[in-house]
Amino acid sequence: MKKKCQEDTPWDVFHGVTKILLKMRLTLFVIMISFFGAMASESYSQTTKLTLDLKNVKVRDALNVIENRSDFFFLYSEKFIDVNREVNIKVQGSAIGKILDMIFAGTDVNYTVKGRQIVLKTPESNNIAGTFFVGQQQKTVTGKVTDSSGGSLPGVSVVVKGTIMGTITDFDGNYSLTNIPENTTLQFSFVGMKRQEVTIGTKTKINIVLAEDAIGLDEVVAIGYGTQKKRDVSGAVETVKSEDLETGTASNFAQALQGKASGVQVIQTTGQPGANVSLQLRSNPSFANAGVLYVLDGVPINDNAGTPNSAKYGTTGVDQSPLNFINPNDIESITFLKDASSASIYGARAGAGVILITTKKGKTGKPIIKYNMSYASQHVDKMYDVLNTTDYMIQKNLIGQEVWMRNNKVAPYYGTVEESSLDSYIPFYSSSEISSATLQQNAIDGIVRSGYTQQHNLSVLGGTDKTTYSFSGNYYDQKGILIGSNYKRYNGKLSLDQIISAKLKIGATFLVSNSTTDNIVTGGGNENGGILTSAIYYPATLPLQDSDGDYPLNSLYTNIPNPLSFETITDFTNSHRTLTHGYAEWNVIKDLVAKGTFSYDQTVNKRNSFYPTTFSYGAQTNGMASINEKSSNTKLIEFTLNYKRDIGKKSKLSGLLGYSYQLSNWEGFGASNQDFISNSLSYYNLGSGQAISPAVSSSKSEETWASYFGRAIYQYDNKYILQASLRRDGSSKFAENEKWGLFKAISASWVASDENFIKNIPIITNLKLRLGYGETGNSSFPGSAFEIYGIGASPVFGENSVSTGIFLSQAANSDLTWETAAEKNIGFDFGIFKNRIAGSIDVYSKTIKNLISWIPFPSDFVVSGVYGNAGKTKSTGYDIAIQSKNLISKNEDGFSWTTSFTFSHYLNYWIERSSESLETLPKYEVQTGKKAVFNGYYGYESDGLFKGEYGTAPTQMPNMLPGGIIIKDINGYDDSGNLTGSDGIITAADQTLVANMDPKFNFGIGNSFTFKNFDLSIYFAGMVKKEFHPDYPTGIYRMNLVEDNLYTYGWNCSNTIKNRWTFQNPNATRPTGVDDGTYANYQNYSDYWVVDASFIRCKNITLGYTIPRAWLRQNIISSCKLYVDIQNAFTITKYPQLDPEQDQSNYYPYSKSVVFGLNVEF
Amino acid sequence: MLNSSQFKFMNMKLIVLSFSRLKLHYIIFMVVSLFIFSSCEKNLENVTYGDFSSDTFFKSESDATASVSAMYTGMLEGYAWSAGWGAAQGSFRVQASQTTDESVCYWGDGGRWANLKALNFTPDFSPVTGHYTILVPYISEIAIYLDKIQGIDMDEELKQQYIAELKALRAYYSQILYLYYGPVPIRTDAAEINNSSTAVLSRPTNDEMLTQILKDYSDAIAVLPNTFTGSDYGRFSKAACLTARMKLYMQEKEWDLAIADGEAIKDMGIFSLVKNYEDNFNYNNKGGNSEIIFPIVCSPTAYPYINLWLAHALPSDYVDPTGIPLTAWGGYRMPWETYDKFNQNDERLNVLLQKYPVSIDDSGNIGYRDARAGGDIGAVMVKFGPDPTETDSQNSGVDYPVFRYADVELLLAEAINNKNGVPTDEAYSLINNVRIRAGLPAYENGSMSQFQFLTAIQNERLFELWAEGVRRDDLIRWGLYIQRAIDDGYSVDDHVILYPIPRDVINESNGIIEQNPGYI
Repeated sequence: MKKKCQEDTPWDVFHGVTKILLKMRLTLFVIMISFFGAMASESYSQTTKLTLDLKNVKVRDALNVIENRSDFFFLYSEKFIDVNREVNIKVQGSAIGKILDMIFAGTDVNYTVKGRQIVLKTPESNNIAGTFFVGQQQKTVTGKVTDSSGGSLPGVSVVVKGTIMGTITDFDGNYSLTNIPENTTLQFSFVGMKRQEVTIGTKTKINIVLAEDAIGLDEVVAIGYGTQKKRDVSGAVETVKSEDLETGTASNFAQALQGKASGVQVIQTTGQPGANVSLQLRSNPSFANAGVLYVLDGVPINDNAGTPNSAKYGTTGVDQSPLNFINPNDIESITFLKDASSASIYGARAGAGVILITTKKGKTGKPIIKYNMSYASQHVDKMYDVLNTTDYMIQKNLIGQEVWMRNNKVAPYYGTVEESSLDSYIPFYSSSEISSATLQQNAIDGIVRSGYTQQHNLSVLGGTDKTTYSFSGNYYDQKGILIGSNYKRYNGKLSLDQIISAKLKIGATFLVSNSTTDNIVTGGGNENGGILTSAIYYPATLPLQDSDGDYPLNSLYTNIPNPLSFETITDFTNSHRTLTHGYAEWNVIKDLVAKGTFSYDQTVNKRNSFYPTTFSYGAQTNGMASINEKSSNTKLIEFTLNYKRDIGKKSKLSGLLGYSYQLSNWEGFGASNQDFISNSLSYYNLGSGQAISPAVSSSKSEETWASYFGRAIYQYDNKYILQASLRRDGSSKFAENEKWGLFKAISASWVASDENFIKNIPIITNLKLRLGYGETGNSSFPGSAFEIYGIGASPVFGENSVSTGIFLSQAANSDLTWETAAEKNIGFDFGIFKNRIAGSIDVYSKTIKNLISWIPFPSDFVVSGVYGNAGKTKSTGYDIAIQSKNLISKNEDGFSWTTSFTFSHYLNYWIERSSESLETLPKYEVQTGKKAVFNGYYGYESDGLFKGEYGTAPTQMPNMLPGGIIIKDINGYDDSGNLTGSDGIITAADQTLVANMDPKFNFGIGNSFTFKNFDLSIYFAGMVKKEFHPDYPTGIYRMNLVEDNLYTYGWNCSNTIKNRWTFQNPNATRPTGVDDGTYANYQNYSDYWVVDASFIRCKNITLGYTIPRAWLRQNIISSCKLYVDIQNAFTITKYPQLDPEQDQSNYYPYSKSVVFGLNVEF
Repeated sequence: MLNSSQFKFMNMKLIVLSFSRLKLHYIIFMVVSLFIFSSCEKNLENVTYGDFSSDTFFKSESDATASVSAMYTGMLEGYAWSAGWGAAQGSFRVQASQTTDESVCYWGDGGRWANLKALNFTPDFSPVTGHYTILVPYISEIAIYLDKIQGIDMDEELKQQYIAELKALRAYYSQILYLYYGPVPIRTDAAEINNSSTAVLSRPTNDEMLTQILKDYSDAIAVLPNTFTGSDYGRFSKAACLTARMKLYMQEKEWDLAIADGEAIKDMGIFSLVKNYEDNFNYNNKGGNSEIIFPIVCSPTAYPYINLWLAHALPSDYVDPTGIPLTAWGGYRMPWETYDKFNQNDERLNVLLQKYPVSIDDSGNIGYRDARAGGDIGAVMVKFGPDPTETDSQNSGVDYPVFRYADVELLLAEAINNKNGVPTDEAYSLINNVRIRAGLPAYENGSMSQFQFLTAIQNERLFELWAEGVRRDDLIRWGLYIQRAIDDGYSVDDHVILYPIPRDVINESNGIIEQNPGYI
């Protein structure tokens, strides 16, 4: 009476979802209750239609086939039912009743359908059942069945062994059997759980905890254009389920994925509300790296509109994730297709891996209403540390004196002139000015505030026999931790699925999202910097706002806005995205399903900005306003044929053929004007600006894709699985003969633990070996393979008339073709000690050939180069994921503890470079091999600081300033430009590989504890050997460039400059702040500045409390959970700057959040 | 509206529906129908929007106009930040100034300014190697357009004018390269360009490169009008060609030829000094005047055609006395040592300030700051006037004069003095024209020896032409370029008179293109 999950019905997606649900925790079991419980029990037998064509098969086999093709299972005794009788069955889309009538026609067998359970009886068995136990004492047994986490299990079948007597557990997992004899055995069985047998003895109450059957193996995972049982997957595929995503404050799901799956690197480069998160699957040493392909319910969603410009800053400093349109609460599961053998079915766009997002769908049954809300208070985690007013004055005097000493060649450090022979240095501030100075508010503190996020989410899922629906709405509101930054979003989703006839089903999903972001530009240097730059630079002697309410400016550098004046600007982006997606599925004949899909994805991002005269850019232009819009739309049409068939007793074959066509286009429009008569006009009336020539712009581009794909899966004896796929992709980017690329994949797996010789090893519960080879493509590069004459090199003639120029802007490359990555993957899945410890280990090697790279032309070509296929790179690495159930409680309320751990490593390097690229490759760069790392940082090796007196400089650096970084002389150039070895002077040839900027290891550690109604989870993620160079003097915010910043411009600096070398502090640990014109360009790029940014971050500490059911009004609220979550609790790192993950060019700081949340189900 | 792919979707559904009643043997047909969609493959055509493809470009007169226009952008070295005749570090103007006694800079920028001052050039120092990288492709592209324009059916006179303009531009860009780097290989055969199978050209001799440049100039001079006016103001005219060629002859010390070109310009009879020196550099210069021979016309909203001099040169506390808001980054200053050569009565000091305005009160009184007393490194090099349209405080629409008649007059006087051994009356009258306009006393005819006159010219060129990109050529011509650096305490030798060729050029030619001597 074994029961397996199958996906053989036409509507396998739904069964897949139900099966995933079966593995979920308590809250989700409640959904099941309504699905499998009494209400739904009849509907399953009515809605499930089977198509069978069986000739001369035994009844036993026929029943097995039905079990395999559906969720039905049979209870019967072979003693009474003649299962060896042969029958012929040929039905199309028939209900179970009709099929059973056919099978048992002419016999005395009758049947009872109870949900998915079908009991077969004969009058004889009924009689015997009544008399079977004659003479034995009869009793009643009751009890409750739960899962290992204490959740009630409804729908578990409880059968007296060897009989047809039995029942199924109710809504709360309770069962009751009457009139059964003592000394019999009860069998408890449930989909995805290990069957248990218990001898009754004298007990009358038997509670059972069912263990999961080999972790997740019967779980169904998405594999692209279909689903597969986790057990049968042969590639490197990993799934994260919705309940593992802490989405309390996340505006998009990617933020919650860090460390959750091995080989998935999540880097959040900025703390900006709604900002993008960079997600990397394993690694992809490619220049044409389009990033991961996201597929939402089968629709690729990568083609979005992008960030529109603002008048002054362009697109810089503002970062919005294109994934924000997905409500994280709608997500059922996220599947990572990590290796090429699994991603290859997406061919040319899968070079960087594929992420499949499956959203929640409605089920037949009473509507389930869920409401979640959370509120988080947010505070800045760590902020830039700048000089206070007094220190600013002291340090400005000091650097002034140093510059004066250098200019006058004062002994003993700067020359031989005795200081006493000169007029004395006049400091900027007298000591009395310093001691009596008013301490001003730190500008950094002036722009920081406490923020919050709140969200409300409501969803309704349900359906009738023929129609299922899901509806959800989400409201998300964030007040950023920097002034002027806010984010607000509304999301809605509606999914409908309709069975039209036994053969035809249609469905549609509508996803709409509307968000408004108040942009506050960060990043950038000098006057191009945003609010943080201006706050860092703001002189510590100035008030942020004067008594008149005006915003003072640094008189030495008036072109940087006052940091507080950013409050007065208008700059917001309105984003709309609508994704509609419809399908029709037709069960053509037995085993064959045809499906057609159409989707339309439209994005419009519109940015309005106005700089009033209170803001210095507004003052300079007398008000500057702009409206910029970017839009995209993608139409996708797909057609697939799915075929599944059992061949003989042990073999199964499934096949897929498909065609896909996609047309994407992008448009842009912008207008700006300046010189407005009043600030009150804002951006509302661009025409009223008085600029001589207001700016207008527009753009359009288009790309077309066509693809054919196919896949075959062969399975023997459920132990050996062979899978192969092929995809042919064409893109309009390439020239005529290079448009098409062919991407192949083959993989195999072996469930070794099903072999008898392993079954006998007691500690091994599960062991599976996977082998895969696959190819994926990449064509993501700006431009195309065609010659383009660009418009825009336009001079001005006469007085103000622009004469439009046309020039060759892109050279043709008719040989340019797909970049192809070939990846080999070997993986093991294992479970030991009854799956107390389970996990997987994958090792891979990926070679990218025909690397699409910029190939520089010789200097007498008209354009500087062209995109071509040059070189090969390689990535090798491994991913490890382990889950351990450290403590399992014996009963529902006990203490349990589980740990999950992910760990991964990769190394990217060049294995071949083209002759063209070698011509321009600097000689000091490693050409190929493991030392030729793909993301290498080349610079100069440092050898400490020069502390000596004038004239004692190292020989290779004559006349260097004291306190400077000493650079090692390792090479020189000869006449033909080759390296010579040490040549006695410092030149560009002295550069060498000083760091690999890729992290060496990524890891995540999660611990969760449950006790009674409490659950606690603590989550860590981190990276090891990640290098960064945050502090180098000309780095973006130049906080250490003392002479230029503090002396020349009066900008504030980092507190670390107090540790610099000065004539007063000749044993300092940090270099001098005085510019060394001769050597600065070498010193600034030395390894002195490269630091280890390894870190371990406590991402979450979440404490939840589930309100006992007894306290709830059962008829209204079925479940209620409260939780507190501390996000970004702490980070352990030696990294000296704000955050080791943060991008240096967009440094909106991270926040620490305390989240309060409530989940209720009705 | 349904678009094409939606139609295809509907077609597909029709196919699906029409076969819905048929059985197994139609499966094959269904599979075939899957591949019938190959019709879509035709839609994999690449479409270019907003730009031109090789199918649509260079067919008409307007294409010819646009391509000639594009070649003018080499004057600002394309989209390099205010390079060429612009005002940033990569510009001819600023390099002529910062590598000489004319100016110094307040900024550090990783030692790049200090290295310019010290003539510390290397093949990796992009501010000095960038001209090669940018201008060589312009010269190649001009060769292609010279070839393509022949086949265009258009007004013949205009076609000849465009050809002449292209040749003038090519000659001028080549001249810049020649004077910075010495002779360098340039492509003049369109068929050889953008062709990977073409052999690398080695460096020509001085004479070979000069011959090519001079041929282009004489071809252009034969066709171009003396000047361009109205909506064509800013195009390369005959007078501009003659001025450029005269400058080349001056560097080659071909005094006779330089004099001939100078006299030819003078004999056109259309050029004279404007009354007010400053009017060459303020908004009054829009549309041209009798003195400006060749300008870069600017507009505050037409990047890169924006004048950024004031933004680079003004101290950040500078306040425009007329109340125009100005961006001021506080970079360039003229060292006091150089400034002190000026006569304090020189009216040209109106735009070269020791005391500069820092405030205006409500009654219009202007407050000044004394830069020298305040310890500044030099005088404030205002030179250009603010843009009264106040469109943008940073981007000014004041034109950059490239060639001025005052420059021609001083060069002509210098050439005559060099040729004759003593200054002639004409030479005196030429230099005096310039002095008198500046409110200075004229030199008396016959009052100076050849050497004294040369010294007078050397000083006058500094007073008149500072911040106009001539100082480097001047000092090199006079043999004073290296001396200036030595006087400033730098140890340099003659090889730095030529900039180094970019390292990439040497490497990618496998050494066929040789580096200038002294650089490794």
